[in-house]
Amino acid sequence: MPELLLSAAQGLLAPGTLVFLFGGVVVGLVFGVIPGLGGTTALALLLPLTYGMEVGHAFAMAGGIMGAIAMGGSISAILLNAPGTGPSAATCLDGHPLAKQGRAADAIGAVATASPLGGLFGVLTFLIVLPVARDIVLLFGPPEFFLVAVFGIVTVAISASANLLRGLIAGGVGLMLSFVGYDTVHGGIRFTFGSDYLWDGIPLIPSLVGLFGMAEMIRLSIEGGTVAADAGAVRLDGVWSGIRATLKHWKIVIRGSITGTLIGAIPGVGGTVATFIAYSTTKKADRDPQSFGTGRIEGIIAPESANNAKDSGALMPTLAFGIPGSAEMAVFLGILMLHGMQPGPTIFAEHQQDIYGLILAITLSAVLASVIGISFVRWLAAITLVKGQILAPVVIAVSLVGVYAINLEPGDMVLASVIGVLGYLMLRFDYPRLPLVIALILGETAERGFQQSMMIGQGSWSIFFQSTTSIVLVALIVLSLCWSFVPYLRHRLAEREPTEAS
Amino acid sequence: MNRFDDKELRRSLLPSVATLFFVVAYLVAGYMTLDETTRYVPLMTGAVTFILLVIDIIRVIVRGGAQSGSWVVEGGGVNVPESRGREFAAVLLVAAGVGAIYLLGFIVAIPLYLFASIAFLGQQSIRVAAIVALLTSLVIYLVFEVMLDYQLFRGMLFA
Repeated sequence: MPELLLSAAQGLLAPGTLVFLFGGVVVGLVFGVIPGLGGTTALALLLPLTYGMEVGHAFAMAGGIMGAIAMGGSISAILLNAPGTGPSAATCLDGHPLAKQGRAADAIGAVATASPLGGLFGVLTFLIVLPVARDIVLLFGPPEFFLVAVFGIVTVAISASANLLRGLIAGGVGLMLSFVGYDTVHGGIRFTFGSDYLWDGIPLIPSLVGLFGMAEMIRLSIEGGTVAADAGAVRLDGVWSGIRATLKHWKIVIRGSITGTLIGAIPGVGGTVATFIAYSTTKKADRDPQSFGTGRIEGIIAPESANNAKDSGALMPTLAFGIPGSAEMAVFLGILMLHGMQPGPTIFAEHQQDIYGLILAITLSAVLASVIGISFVRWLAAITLVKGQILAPVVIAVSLVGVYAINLEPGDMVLASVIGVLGYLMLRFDYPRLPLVIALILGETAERGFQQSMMIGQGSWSIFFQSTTSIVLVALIVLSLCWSFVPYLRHRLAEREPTEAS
Repeated sequence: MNRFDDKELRRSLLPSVATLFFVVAYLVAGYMTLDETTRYVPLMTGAVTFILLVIDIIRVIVRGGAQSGSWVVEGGGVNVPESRGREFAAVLLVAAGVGAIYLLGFIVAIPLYLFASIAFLGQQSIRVAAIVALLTSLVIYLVFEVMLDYQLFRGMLFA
């Protein structure tokens, strides 16, 4: 293996290949920054271009895009609360409050460090796990998929709001919306009310752009001022403080990276879920979970570590079985096939050096994207000083064009604006938006897993207790729900003590 | 005093009651229009959400609006302006912008939307609004149409 890795590194560092890698990084950063575009769109546009390229060049460019997307997406998440990509949405939660406090540079510094570290961890895990990847992926069947989806919704509902009930209600509404469109199990059309547009369900990217980006911009245009509440307090020299904070919280980096790699490897669950779960677990493990959402640097480090680690995780099922772990990987599968590479266990024997080249390209591009991000931090952070009355309509306009550009579908733009208003109302009336998003993403996986499990178990719920993996997942769900009552009980006890003492 | 005379309580109840109406409509539509196999999971989810909403409404009524934490929001909340007109105007401008894009397309509607938002809602000078509107539209055109080769939507009237 070391010889092959060395040889792959030499191939990647050849001047010709480096040009393609750098090109991929720039494309990845641009597509990441523009809300609504993202890795899938960038790779889809690249797909036909790679036809005439050497495999090494095509992989360098694809790896460059995959590694840089996370950085680009997180920059707009921090500065504008408009996640450039789905997985960057979790970075909004604490990244944007930091930008509002004038500490956008700290947040970007943390992203620039956590992101490549997560990527590096993911790559190392990929190399170690590769021999047993098949066994791990096969641990997940329909009951486990259903339980992973439920676990994701429950953990986010618990951690997203101080009000568990409203978190669960938002999750319920998100699930209900996810059932709109074609029923993949039984084949019926649901809740479309005659609209062809809704046949494919409520699309995710317009929903994310609306719920986070547009809602925030509507708020900014109403409140006025700048993104950074106190323009005089904006620090443009906080990058090193962000880098130091990330290195100090190395345990969070490792935890986030493990979450990213594991969830990324589960086909159909995706990077957005991985970053939100990484955020939730870090929040729950913290001594002061209530302070998350107000600008905690740990709330950026966790999802960002998961964000880049997930790519290596998602590569496992993509390469080993041809089952893409995400939409991005589905497009990447197309690039593989375009170059005559058939995914499956034999790919590692036949194209080992190319695979290592790709892995190294993803890692190197994450580092390159971070260097570029840090270099331009002064200019990027200055966005937070632009007047909200000017910034908000400009971001809304760019978001609408970006959302339209995904499928060239005007309906996406209308949907994003409707969900944007809904997001503003949720913000206004204390309904957490995260459980709604996570349920919208996981609804289809949950329903498919549930229906298929019921078919396998002939209608018996005992199917969810038949494997060790599902028993562990059930235990985690129950524990999460019970754990959420601990702060409430503590509060009640604390209230009672003074009464009894008096 | 009647409990429902409390303005804070009514405001706290509003979103839960509105969501409850949505959930009831969803349940009725699901029951009436879908067959037994496809409606099972959606109706089960709707029923659970309905129960959670009823508990939330009871909780708000029992505790009272002010104590229910309704105005403490994620990410710092919204500094609600004294006049609701600004809120309505912001939402209406987005709706008008999307409507204009739908009818006239991006190239015509984006500068109009930006100019109206910056000059009227943002209360900036006409010159600033015009410069930002034109520059942003130019950048959007260059990035999406010229560089990325997307065909921007021309609108229902010009398509």
